[in-house]
Amino acid sequence: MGLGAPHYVQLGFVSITVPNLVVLGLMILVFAAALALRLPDEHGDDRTDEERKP
Amino acid sequence: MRAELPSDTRQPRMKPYDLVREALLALGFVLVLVLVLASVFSSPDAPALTIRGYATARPVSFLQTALRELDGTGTIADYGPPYNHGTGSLQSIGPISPQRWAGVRIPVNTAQDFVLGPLTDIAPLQPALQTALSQFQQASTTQRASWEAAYGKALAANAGQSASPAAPAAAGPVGVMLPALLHIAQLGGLQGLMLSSSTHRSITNDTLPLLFLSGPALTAQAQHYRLLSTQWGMMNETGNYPGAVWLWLYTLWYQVPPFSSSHSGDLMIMGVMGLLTLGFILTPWIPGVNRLPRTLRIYRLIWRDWYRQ
Amino acid sequence: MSNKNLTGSLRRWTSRVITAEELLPEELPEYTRSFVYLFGACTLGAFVCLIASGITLALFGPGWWHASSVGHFVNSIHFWSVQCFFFFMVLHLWSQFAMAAWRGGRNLTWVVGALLFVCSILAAFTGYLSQQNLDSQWISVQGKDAMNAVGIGAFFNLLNFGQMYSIHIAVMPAVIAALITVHLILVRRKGLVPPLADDEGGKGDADAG
Repeated sequence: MGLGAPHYVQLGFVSITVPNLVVLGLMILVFAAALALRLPDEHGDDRTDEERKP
Repeated sequence: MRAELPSDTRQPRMKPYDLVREALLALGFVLVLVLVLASVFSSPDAPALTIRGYATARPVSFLQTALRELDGTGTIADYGPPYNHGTGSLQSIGPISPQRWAGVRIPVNTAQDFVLGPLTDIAPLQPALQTALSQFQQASTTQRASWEAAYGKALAANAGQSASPAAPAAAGPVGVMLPALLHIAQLGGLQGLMLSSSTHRSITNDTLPLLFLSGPALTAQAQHYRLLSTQWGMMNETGNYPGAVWLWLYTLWYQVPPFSSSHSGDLMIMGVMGLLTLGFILTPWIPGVNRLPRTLRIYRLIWRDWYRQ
Repeated sequence: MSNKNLTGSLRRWTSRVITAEELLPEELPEYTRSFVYLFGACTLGAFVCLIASGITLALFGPGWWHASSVGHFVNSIHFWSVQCFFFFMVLHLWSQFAMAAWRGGRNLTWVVGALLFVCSILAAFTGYLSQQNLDSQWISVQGKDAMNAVGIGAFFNLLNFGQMYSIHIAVMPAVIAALITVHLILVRRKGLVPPLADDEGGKGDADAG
C-alpha cells in the first residue's frame, strides 16, 4: 500500500499535519456548536421556561 | 487555600429523561460515523521494514550498520542499560538516573548477536566463512580493528551506491564475513537467526531485529512520514491520516530547549509529563486551576436557561 | 469462624454503594439541557465500537488485517473508533472542566475520569505498537529511549511485540472497562453536578469571605 508523505503546516516552531489540524479544528467547532445550540427536551419542546409562560 | 467554587443551592425541578435511550442513540450515532469514516478514508498500513528488504535495497548501508555493530561504534553497541554497560544513550539528571539503577536487563552484545552469532550458525554451510571466523576470533584486538577499518574505508568510498564494493585484501577475514552476512540477510535468513538466537529465544519478541533496524534503516522512512521527534512526529501517522493528537503536549517539549538540546531530554520530559499528569488527575485540589471554570464562564452558556430563571 | 453471612454483607454493601433507583433514574434535573451532556455517552459508544472491532481483529489474529480486505476494513473501523473515542472523551473533559464538575463531593469522579484518560493513552500506545507495520516499528525504536531513560524499558519493552499485544488486547480493555464502570457508578450515585452559584451582582457567591 503506497502512502504519500503527509501534508503539513509550519507555523514558527509548530509543525502539524493537515489531518491533525482538521481533527483539532473539528473538536473546537463541535464544542462551540454544542454550547451554542439548544438540546431539545424529551417532548421536543425547546422553549425556555420563560417562553413557555403565557 | 480557598474553598471550592460554590454550587447553586436552589432545588431544581425534575424532568423525565431516558438514559438508556440516550446511550443507545449515542452508540448508533458513533457506529454510523465510524462506518462512514472507515468506508471513505480506510486506514494507513505502511508495510513493515524487514532486514531482508533493507539488505536488498541498501546493501552498502546494511554493511556499514553491520560493521558498526561488529566494531562496537554503533548506537546500540554503546547504548547503556538495559542492553549493555555502554554510556552512549545513558540519561541522568545530576545523580538521578533510573536507567542506571534499573541495570542491564536485556543483554545485547551487538558484535555477537548481530554478526558473529548468525555467521557461526551458517558457517557449516560455507568452509571459507568457517576459516574467516576462526581467523577473526583468534586475532588480537588491534588486528581486528585494522581489518574493520580497511573494510569501513572501502564501504565509505561507495556510500550511497546500490551495489556493495569488493572487499580489499587489507580487510582480511572481515571481507569474507560481512559479505556472507549480507548474503544471508538478502536471502531472508538473518531476521530468523536473530529471533532464534539462544539468549533471546522468543518468536514474538522483535527486540534484536528492531534494534538492528533502529539506525539509518528506519530513520530514513520515518523522516519521509514526518515521524521524527524533531518533526512533532509522536502525534503524526503514516500517510495523510490523523495521528495521536492527544500527545501534542508530550511532543511539544521535544521542540523547545532545554529538552531539545539535552542529552537527557527523554528523562526530563518524562519527569515534566509525570508531574503535569499528576496535576491533571488532582485538578479539584490544585488552587487556581480549580477556580478557572469561574473565569472561563463557559458554564453560563451550558446552564443559560437555569440562570435566566 | 464467624457466623456472619458474607452473601448478605455483600448485598448490603452493594446497596450502600448504589441502589437501582440511583443507577437508572427516569428523571434528571431540569438544568440538564445542553449538548455537552452527550459527549460522555458518545465516548461510551466509541468504546463499544472499539471493543467490537477489537474482538473481531483478535479472533482472526494480528496478521489478518494486512492480507485481507475485510480485515483491513475492520481495522479501519478500529482506527476511526480510536479517533472518535479520544475526540468525544476530550470534549467530555472540556465540558466537565467548564462545569467544575468535581464540586459537591464529586472529586473521585474526576480522578477516575482522569485515570481513564491516562489509561486510554496507554491503550492507544500499545495498540499502535501492535500494528506490525512501519508505524509500529518506528514508534517502538523511537519510544524505547524514553522508557529506558525512566528505567522501565526492560519491564515494558516496546520492542517486544508479544508483550505489547497482550497488554493491548487483554490488560488495557479490562482496566478501562473496570474504570468506566466505577466512573458511571460514581456519576449516578452523586447525580449530575448542580450549576455554579450565580455570581452576577455577587448574589449566591458564598465563598467571598
